[in-house]
Amino acid sequence: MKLEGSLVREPGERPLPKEMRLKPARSRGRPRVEYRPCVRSPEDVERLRRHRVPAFLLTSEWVTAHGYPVRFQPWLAVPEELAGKITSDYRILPVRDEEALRAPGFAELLTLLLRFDPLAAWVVAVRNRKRIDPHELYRRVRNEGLERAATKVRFQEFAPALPKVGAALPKEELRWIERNNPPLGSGS
Amino acid sequence: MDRAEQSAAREWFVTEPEVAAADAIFRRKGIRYVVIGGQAIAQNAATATRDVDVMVATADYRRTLAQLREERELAFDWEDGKLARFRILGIGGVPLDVLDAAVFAGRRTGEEFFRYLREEASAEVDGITYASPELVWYTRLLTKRWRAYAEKIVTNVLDGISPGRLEKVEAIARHFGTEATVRERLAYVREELARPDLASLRDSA
Repeated sequence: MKLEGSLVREPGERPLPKEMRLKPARSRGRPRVEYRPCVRSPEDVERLRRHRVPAFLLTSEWVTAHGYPVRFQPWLAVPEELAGKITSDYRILPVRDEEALRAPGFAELLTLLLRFDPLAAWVVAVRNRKRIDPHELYRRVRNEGLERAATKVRFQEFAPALPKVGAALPKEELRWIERNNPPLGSGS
Repeated sequence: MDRAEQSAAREWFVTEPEVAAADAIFRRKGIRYVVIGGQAIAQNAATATRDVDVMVATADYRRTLAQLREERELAFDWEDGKLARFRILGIGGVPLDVLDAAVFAGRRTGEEFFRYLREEASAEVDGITYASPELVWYTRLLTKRWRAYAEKIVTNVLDGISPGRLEKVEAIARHFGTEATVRERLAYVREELARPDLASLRDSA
């Protein structure tokens, strides 16, 4: 599959399963099938990924496993060109740089989290400091235009080259949030 | 809850294990309390951190702390005169914060604030009383760490809680005479909510 503002099957590729097609559209000339995928489960996301569609389901389990115990409804991260073409019960998280979703690593997921819960991103970053590649985090934050959110939760501590845009939250307030949310099983 | 919020809220309610654990202790001790903070917000938005915040009447605050310090299922961490932190041992040391209602009462008394909370700004679900989102937001904006809590309010709105509830926060502040402080902080929240990068997320929530 390739992303053309819509999903179009390329020669030699298997079609997406029927249940993931919402409204096939006809076009002139060579027949092309436009997909408007319906994504209802993690398995659907995996099927999209197997068809080289950059999509990723960010779950609270991932965030909890990385040190910030939280529950939230999953966000389905997709390239912004595709965001309006997907039907899903999941909340859609449009991403500017589709490459970030091909094989998302720690920096990519941290950047996704920064979009909708900067405090969680801060705590996860602090508790996984050694996993952060400053250059990769810099690149992902810049690509998504999240300098303001990154500054708010002091991501310059993890990627010093990041420009400061706007005001940072007081360090003491961030530490308070961190102390209020110890990792699972840390105090039993 | 307005129509937009209904679609974001959970389809059915389950008492979270952290809240159930705290409730069991408070019931056993016969202490009146209301769940506030993120666990109360989760009634409307399906998002919660695990820590539990509860508010008690000012007249009950000292006695509550004394009773909880004797509780084997809790470990006492610290207390600063209006807020005490315990950890619930059976579920991984989840923080349990106990707050004196007087902290948020403005020019009224702690008893009046607690009565207002119980009678006008909370709902009972499964036998447990939870503060309304606007009451939780009001308390968040009155703390000294309000900027960080403003971020949580933004996240709550992305989760589907109507930003229209900010007007109710203002009404609560007027009732307790704290509007000068709260109005300025509400302006900050509204400014944050207007950030262009949040628009696409709010549309999809």
